[in-house]
Amino acid sequence: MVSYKSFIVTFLLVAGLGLGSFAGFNYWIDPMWTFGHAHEYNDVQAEIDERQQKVNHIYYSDFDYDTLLIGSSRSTYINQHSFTGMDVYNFSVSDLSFKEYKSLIDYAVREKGSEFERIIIGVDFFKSSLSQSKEDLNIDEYIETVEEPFYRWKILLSQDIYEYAKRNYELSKADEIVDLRNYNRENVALAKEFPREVKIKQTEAKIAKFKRMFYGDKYEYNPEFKKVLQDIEAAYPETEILVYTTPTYEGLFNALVEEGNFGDYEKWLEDIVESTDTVYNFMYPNSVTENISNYFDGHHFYPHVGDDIAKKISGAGGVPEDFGRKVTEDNFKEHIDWVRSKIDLKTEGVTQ
Amino acid sequence: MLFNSFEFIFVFLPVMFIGYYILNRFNFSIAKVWLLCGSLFFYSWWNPIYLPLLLASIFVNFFIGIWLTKIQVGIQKKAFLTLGILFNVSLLGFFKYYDFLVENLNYAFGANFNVLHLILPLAISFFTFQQIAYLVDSYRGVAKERNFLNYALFVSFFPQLIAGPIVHHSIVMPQYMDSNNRKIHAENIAKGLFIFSIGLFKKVAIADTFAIWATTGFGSAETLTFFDGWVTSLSYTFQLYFDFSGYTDMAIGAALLFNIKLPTNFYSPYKAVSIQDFWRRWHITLTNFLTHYIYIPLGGSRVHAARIYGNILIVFFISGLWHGAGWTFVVWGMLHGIASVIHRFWSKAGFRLPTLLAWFVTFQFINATWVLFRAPDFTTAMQVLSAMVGLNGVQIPSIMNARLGLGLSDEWLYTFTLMDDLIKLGLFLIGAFIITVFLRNSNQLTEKLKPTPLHALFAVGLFIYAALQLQKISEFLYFNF
Repeated sequence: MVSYKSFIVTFLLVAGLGLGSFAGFNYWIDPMWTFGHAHEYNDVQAEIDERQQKVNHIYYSDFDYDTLLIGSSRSTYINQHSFTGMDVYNFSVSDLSFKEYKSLIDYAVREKGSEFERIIIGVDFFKSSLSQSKEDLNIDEYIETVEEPFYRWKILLSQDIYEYAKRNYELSKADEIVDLRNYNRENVALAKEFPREVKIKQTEAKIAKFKRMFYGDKYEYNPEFKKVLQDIEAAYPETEILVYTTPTYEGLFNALVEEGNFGDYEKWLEDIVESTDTVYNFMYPNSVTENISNYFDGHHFYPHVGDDIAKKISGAGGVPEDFGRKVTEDNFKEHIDWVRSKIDLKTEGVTQ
Repeated sequence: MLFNSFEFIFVFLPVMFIGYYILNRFNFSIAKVWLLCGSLFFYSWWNPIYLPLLLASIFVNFFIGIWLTKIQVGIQKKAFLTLGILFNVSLLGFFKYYDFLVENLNYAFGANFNVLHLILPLAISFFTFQQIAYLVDSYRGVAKERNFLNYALFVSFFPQLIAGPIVHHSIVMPQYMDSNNRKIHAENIAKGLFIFSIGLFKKVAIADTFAIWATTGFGSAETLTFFDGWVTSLSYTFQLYFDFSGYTDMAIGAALLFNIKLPTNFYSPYKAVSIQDFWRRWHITLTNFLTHYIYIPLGGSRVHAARIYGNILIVFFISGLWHGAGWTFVVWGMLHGIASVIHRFWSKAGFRLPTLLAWFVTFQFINATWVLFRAPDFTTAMQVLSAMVGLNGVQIPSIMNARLGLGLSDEWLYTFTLMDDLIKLGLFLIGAFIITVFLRNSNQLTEKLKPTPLHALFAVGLFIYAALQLQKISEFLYFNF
């Protein structure tokens, strides 16, 4: 005996159970970071779109930190818990343009409800070029998305999210880091470990790519960079702005020098110092940057290097003595000469 | 608010449904007020700025309609009708065609009138036509609505407000007044869920997939060759059908949940064996409007042949312009008009093509003219059409050559880059062709629905799959930069 009533009941029951199962699983794993619960089956999270994931995380959590860290993919590998004497949130995201700095900070300040005690900005030399900063970018679309009605609920009903959730579940169950970047539920990024020969190969490819695409004639310094930093200083007068340079592998730094961009590097550092008084410079030949095993591609360092950066900025010990220099207007010339001398020494070493 | 959105399916529609039947337990009018308020909220969701425009249009037309039913003197009555039609046409003309007109005047006379860049108010083309029909019928004494609530609901009822069907007052008004519709009718709800699920699947799973390919093709029209040209045009032909008819199915399904039966708007149009047959199956409510309120008043088929052909061309000119404020739409409409004239002449002369050939010619014509409908300009349209007739070279994708073992030499081959997955594309095209040409349409399936568990599982399967596609999340591509 069939009836329209049983048709309706069947439809609603199956729809409820079917969609409910998907939504329940997606909620449990939470790949878009809209809920925040942690357990052993969601403690390895794939990087889907960090801007959206971190915007969501901030929006739906008790966002109460005294320090904000922003930067590009390199800075994502810094463990926010490795800083001492500060409570840091790492809001670093892939491919961050300096044009986006202000919108990231504005959003974080809005969600916190007050200014931060300090903002740490990780800067990359190649991102200061005109070609890498043409567009006026911001994270408005991500904020609009998270503010859409029912956002955290409606994305639970998504096959795309389900695919990510399934993968996160499998990775978490196996407790494996298989990507260049996987997160845990504490907003800490981890990177896959490669054999040394693969690291060498990937680094060679990266150096060749930088020579081809970013250095030499391709690089033209964008003077807007300085203004962006000054604007941040002016907008947040109560906040201490700390800038650090991301340490690239020595071979990649040498490529910059070989391609004739040392003057641009000097100008870039000078503009940072003039804007924010201080910069922690890690980007020069030192015992960390000369060790290829600290990088998986010569450009992105492993989290243990990030820990050293955090310690150095925090003023904690346990960091190689030659890794990181605090540069101010007073010692800028001296520092540049010292970096230059290290390059000269290296060159001499090569020619000898 | 779109039908294919989480907000509509999982929040708005259930809330409206539950509220409507709860309020109906107390008072029919209050339940209708609930529907009206919900419809206005639905309209405002996207952009509330034009809600006053919709309300003004409803008020003005309702009162002109009342006067038309009251006034007895012929000349005054005609003056009021003219005023009413002018009001509606001006509204539509200003918002939809002002910029188009100014751009053409500037181009033709080298003038420099300002373009206003007006945002087209949602649904204006639909609610304007519905109300013109109402005024004309009030003038004729056919429509005599005195209840503002029923009238406002007739114009703004959310399932049909945004994209039709263009409902005729004689079809829906009695349903709004029928107190029998206060009760839950299981058959209507079952059929509503069934056709809504089909519509949602058509839109989300089929049309939106073809949309990606059509957009890619039209976006690189200058590089298309023979095979790409056909893939592009067919993708759009199927996208448009599954999109529009899917949306209509959802409208019909949503309305059935409230015991309102909206008219059929699509009836397997790609099975048509003539252009006249096509327009009896495609956007049927628009065809009915144009026939009853333009073609017949112009003289219809009662005048001499030359005027009939002229009237047909006028109707299709208006149809083209109604679809969009651009010359490509006008030319598309005129081509359909010319085809209709030729078909009429051909039929009157007693000629008749074999059915298969008639279908083939009709489908080719429809497919080719959709290119004009979709293309942003004539240059793009000509690039796609040129590719389709082989003017940009006739080559076969090398992957197809390899898989089918065609054994063609390199000069006949090229690397297909328009889409990632040629197999998926082929399956979609073949599937869409079979569905549109050989299978029963959603209206027929709903009409004959047997409420078996199997049918329920079929519908809910489509629904679940489509619902899971509503939120697309894409990866950030440059993730390590």
